[in-house]
Amino acid sequence: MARMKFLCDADRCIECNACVTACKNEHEVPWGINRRRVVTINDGKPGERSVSMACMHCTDAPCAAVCPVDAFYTTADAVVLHSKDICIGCGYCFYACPFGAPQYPKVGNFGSRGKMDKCTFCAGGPEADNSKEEYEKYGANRLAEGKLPLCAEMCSTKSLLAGDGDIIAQIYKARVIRRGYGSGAWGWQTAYSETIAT
Amino acid sequence: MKSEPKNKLGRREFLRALGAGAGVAAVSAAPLATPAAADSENNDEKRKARYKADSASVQTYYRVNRYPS
Repeated sequence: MARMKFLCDADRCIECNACVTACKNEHEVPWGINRRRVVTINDGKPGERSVSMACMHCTDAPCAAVCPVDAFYTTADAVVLHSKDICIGCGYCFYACPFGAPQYPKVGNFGSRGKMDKCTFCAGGPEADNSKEEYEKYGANRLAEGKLPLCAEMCSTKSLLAGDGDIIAQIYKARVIRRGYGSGAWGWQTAYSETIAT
Repeated sequence: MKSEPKNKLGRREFLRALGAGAGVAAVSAAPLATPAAADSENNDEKRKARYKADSASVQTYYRVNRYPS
């Protein structure tokens, strides 16, 4: 069974924000919510790097672990989704997520957050595929249409990879071999130390 | 002496008819608090695989991303 993954080739990201715009447009994401963001470190200095960030659809998702109402579930494609009908807007997942993926529309008074919103890997939610209800709550279900997330398809430098984890790992490995130097994947050196070359 | 024309529907009959009509309407009308519409998919449906590896769009995406840099 294929496992859906995102991988941002940080050597290629030029911080154009096309992925952010594509996501907002495709799903009609409301004001104040960005399911995907581009983060830049060392901005304007040597070693500047940009990386496109969204929900990473963790294998053992901390958001699901802390949710008091069990609103999260993982599909057979390893995509982490949630139900807005079950969500109570407590905000625990926001604090648990290491990527800042869960977002809240802040629709009410007195600090109420509203229903949590996050990247769905363009896979909709627990409503009938490509129904009006699904689109209004979760956005488009491109996966069910035989497509991949629009952020990755829209990436002009092919920096943002999405799809079957095994295949995008092959694609990335071929790029690294061709470049002839170590991994440009964001977080690689943090995770595997600087001495390990790919 | 000219007598006043008798109404076809008297005041009391009118009120009785009105009350009976309201009762029928109250019984037949939908309840004010309808059950909230929750997720329409059950546990198996919402977790099923949707990724289509063989679709033209997916294959094109992988092919294009394999282009040498």
